[in-house]
Amino acid sequence: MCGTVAAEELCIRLKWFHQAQFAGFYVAKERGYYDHQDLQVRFLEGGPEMDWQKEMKEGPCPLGVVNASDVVIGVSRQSGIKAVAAINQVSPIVWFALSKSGIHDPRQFAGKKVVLVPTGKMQFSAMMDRVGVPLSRIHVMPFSLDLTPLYTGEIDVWSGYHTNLVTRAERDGYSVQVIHPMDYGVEIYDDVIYARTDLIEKDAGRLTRFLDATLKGWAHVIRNPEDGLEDTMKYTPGEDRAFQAAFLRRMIPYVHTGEVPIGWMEAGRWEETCKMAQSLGLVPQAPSANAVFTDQFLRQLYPEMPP
Amino acid sequence: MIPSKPSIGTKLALIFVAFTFLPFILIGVGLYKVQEEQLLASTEAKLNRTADLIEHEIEEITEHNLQHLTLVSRIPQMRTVIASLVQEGNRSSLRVKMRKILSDTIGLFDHIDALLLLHPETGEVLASTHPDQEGKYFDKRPYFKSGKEKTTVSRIHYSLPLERNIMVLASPVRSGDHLEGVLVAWTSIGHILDSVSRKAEAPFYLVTPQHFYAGALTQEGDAGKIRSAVFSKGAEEGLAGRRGSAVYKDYRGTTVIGAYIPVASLDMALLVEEPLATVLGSARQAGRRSLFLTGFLAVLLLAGTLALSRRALKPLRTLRRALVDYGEGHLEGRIPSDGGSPEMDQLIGAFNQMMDSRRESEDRYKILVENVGYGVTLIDRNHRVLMTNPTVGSLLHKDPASFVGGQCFKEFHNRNEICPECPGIQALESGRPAEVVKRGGMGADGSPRTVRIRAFPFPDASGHPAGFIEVVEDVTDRLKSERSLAEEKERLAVTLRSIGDGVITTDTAGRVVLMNRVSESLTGWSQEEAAGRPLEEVFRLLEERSRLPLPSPVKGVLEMGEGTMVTRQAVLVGRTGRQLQVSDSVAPIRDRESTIIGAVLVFRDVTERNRLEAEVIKGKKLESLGVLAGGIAHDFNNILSAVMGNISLAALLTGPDHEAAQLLRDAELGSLRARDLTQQLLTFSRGGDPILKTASIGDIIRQSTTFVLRGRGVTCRYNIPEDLWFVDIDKGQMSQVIQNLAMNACQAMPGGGVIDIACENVERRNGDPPLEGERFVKIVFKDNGIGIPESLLDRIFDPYFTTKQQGSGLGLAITFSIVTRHGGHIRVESKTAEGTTFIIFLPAATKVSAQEPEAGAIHAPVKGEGRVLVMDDEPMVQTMAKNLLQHIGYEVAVAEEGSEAVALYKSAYDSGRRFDAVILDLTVPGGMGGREAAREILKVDPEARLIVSSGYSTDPVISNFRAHGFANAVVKPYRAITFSKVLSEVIGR
Repeated sequence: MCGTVAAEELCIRLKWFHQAQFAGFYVAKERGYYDHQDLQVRFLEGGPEMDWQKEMKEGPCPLGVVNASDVVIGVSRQSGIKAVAAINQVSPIVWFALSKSGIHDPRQFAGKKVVLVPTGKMQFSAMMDRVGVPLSRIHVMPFSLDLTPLYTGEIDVWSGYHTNLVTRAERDGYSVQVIHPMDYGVEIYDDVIYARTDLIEKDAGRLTRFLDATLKGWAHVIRNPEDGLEDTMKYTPGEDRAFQAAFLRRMIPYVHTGEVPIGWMEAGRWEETCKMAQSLGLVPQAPSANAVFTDQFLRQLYPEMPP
Repeated sequence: MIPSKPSIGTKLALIFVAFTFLPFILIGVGLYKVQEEQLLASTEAKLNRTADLIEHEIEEITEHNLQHLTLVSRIPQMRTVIASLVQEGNRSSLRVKMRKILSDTIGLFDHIDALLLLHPETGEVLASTHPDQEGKYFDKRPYFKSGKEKTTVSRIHYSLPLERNIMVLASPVRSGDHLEGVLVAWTSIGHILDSVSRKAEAPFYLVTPQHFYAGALTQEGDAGKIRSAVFSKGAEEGLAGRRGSAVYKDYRGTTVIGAYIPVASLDMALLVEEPLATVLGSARQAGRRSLFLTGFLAVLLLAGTLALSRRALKPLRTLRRALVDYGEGHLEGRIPSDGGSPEMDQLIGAFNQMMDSRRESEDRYKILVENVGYGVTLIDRNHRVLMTNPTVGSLLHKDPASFVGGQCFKEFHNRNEICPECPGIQALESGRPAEVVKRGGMGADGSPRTVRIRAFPFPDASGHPAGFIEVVEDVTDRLKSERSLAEEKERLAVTLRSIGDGVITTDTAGRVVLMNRVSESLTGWSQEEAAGRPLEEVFRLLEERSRLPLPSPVKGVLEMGEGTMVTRQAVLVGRTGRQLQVSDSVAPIRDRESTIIGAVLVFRDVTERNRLEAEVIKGKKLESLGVLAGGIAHDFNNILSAVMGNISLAALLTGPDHEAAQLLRDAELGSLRARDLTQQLLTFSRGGDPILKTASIGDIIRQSTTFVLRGRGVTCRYNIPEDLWFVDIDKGQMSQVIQNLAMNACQAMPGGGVIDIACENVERRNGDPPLEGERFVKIVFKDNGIGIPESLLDRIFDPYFTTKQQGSGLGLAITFSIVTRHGGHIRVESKTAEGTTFIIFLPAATKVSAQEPEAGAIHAPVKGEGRVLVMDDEPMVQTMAKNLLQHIGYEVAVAEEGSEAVALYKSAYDSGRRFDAVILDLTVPGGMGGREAAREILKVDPEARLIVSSGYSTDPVISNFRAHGFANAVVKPYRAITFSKVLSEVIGR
């Protein structure tokens, strides 16, 4: 790239506060992958208070990192976005109980107190539907980051990010049994990067360069997790480094299982996701996979992938 | 600095060692390369072998497991149970039965972790060797979809729930065409790789098309760990389906030697790699050992060779040393025959013969150079001293050998750079000898020496300047004598020039040889013009009175043949005709043998001296006349006082209407004219010192001439500048000068005419005017009258000399006297029938003093009252004063001289009737004068009011009476009006 040309600016709204969850983005910025693509990328933090539908339509950034369900809802509400890559091949939202409780199957949730993470409703419904346990038989408890009720037995099952809460419980010294929705045929993407359709249509080149740099950033993190941690700590100077390291270590397999390239998305899974959203009542009608996502950029980056 | 070159012995040794060891080194390096190649080849072979082996093993295991999975899926019992399970749902007895079948058959497989039987539609795990997997749904997993079709093997991937890398084999369980279920076998890739790695000779790992790493890095022990972005040449080649080996950088950046091979059944690449450093480590260590050994041997061999060559080259060294000695100038000694070899004996013999010849030549050369008497130094073009002789050493008080090798400017002149006046540089540049004379070295007594340095360039073999020979000669003594001779000559020349007299030397023929400046000036001849001419032509003398030519003054001295000095006065006629009075003297000039070789004439201009002598005589004459005039004037004044006083009294007594009144006025006028004459006499005499006051001479000139010339038909033209300097003058006397000159001019122009009077400020130039001081006011007084004959000009200032019938003969004499006493100068220039010009120079005032205002006129005596004491030695004056004072109201006492006056005053003072005023005559012949009497009276009565009277109006006591205790002064002869006024003022005070 010619150094005399002013770098193009882009901003992306992250799903949450700065943490190892976005290590690939940090590395792409700090290690010059964005610079190499002549991009100047700005990160805006998200959080629990974010109104994603409003953000997608009117927010300052044409790009964002969100749940798959938010993408489906956004498309359904014609927020003018599309998914362009998925950082997590499978959602890291899991259910977990203390090992000593003997709970290892969702069928055992019947009559139990189960804490439900708000972003996991869709997986929870699909999973419980799959094993034939009506939600009415489960005592769904409000979500909290304080796991003490789980440790004390007050709560039977907790839900949350494998990367975050399971790691925290283990760090707290508790052996937990993890129940993966994917073991029950529920596989949805997470940390999905969406882009506004005007960016997709009018500035595809810039978006391609952004995705190329971002996915290379993630590849760098997988190859050198320490770099990812180091750059993460630049954005979270007050955070517990050991925790961020464990977070990142656990996140990496979700990003890359070895089956498909980093960021890859397939229409089938999006179709399933749209149906799940509809069955859960999140959207009145399941949008088509093509309306929700596009793999045009990923195919440019991974030409070897079969059609 | 020239780097020292290795000796022949060292060179020989080095050559020997080089030729001995070069092959060793080359062979060593070659061997090392061969060894490296071999190592690489063997490692490559090993890696390829391992790759082949591992690939084969993996393929075999996979094939084996796939075959067995197909076999198990076809077990009839399994198909039966599975059909029941699918149809009857979750019956635990069937599930247990199926678990048993699976557990029984799992032993047929290699490295299978679990067997699972999946529902053909929902993908639910119906039974498993791992019961915790039962009830899960794997319908979304790729192997479920492919396994429904045929026996397949999945790509290695990371199982998030199992948290390890797995490979999954799947096979349909069919009854005829009906799909009863899907049999799935999970195998941990780590287990397979661990298994095969026991047979591997090197670490290896598998890479997926997504550059996903599935390693069994046995050495790292991280089997099952995942890595991503495994990019390397090996990975690319292997994934592209190529096999081979190469040196490349692995995905961590480490240079490795690696073998790559595709694993077709798994759609993966197998890489077997070893770090190059590890592979070549032993070879490199061996190489270093060999190199060290070779080096050690080389040193040993070199030492040995050196020792041997040293022995073999001993005669050559001896010869070399002799040559070096010769080079350093040691020519003594001979080289003994070695006897070692005939060639060396011949060489030594020839050398000794050459040395003998050189020695003889050197000796002769040495004698020449060392005794030449000059300092001789051979210097190269870089100013390095090649050779120097003992004279140089003695000049600089150092060992001459110590200079050799050093640079001449450093050694001889203690400089850090080439001397700016170096003659060597000039000689080198011009190719011709050059020289310089400068200070250098010290004498035996430590005195600095002066040397003449000459540089002679000498060429090298090619004819180019190679350096120069510097010849140094101590010229201190010679220069010293030359200098003293020159100084002596200069001193004589200066002396001659400085002599105030004219000096001319002649040869024995009386021809001019030398003239000094004074003689050039007086004769009008220059030295160049006069040289060689007869003296009488240059020095023309006339007899002073007869004006007849005189013979050459040197002629007699030369003819007489003995020294004579002649002094006489004559007139020298210069080349321009100017005549000067000279006195001269002549003396012969003799050489060492007293032979007369010429004559010297010394003469001086005595014109001015003669004039001054005349002036002195004239001055003395005037002085005598002054004394005489002063005496006469004093007596005359007293007489006149009586006459005038009595006339005044008579006039008062008779009154203005008396018929004698006119007669008395005429008598008083006559007396006044007599008084003026007396005043002129007094001025001329000694007592006439001017009372100087700063004034403008211009005003005095105008006033005085106007007064004199009124009604005489003569007019004045003034040219007096405004900025004319002030002069210190006695106004009365200077007025008299102007009046005299004006009167003189009038008398010279009886028919009337014009007098031009010009004044100007001048500064003294070339001794004119002949006065001290620098600034003067010049007054030029010019008439166009009859003029004065030249013969009379030098007498016109003489007293009583006059050409006019009316003249007193005192006018110009007094003028001369006044001007002279003012420190001025007067001269006259005149030509008959053209007119006369008087020129006066007066010194300009250095400061301006206040001018006294003019006193008002008094027309009648002032009456008064009181007691007055009059002291005068002249009875006529006493009587006159007494009568006059009593007439105007005073009581008068009279004393003849000072002591009487003092006594009278004391008596009156003591009796309480002191005098109101005392009039004291200043001069009392033979008695106490006024000044002393005043002192005595003031002792008695400090309040006494004293008036001094004198006929000398210019006496210092009169002009400065207060300093002598007087209250006022009156000048004799008294006029009643003046006298009464003064007295009235003093008493009334």
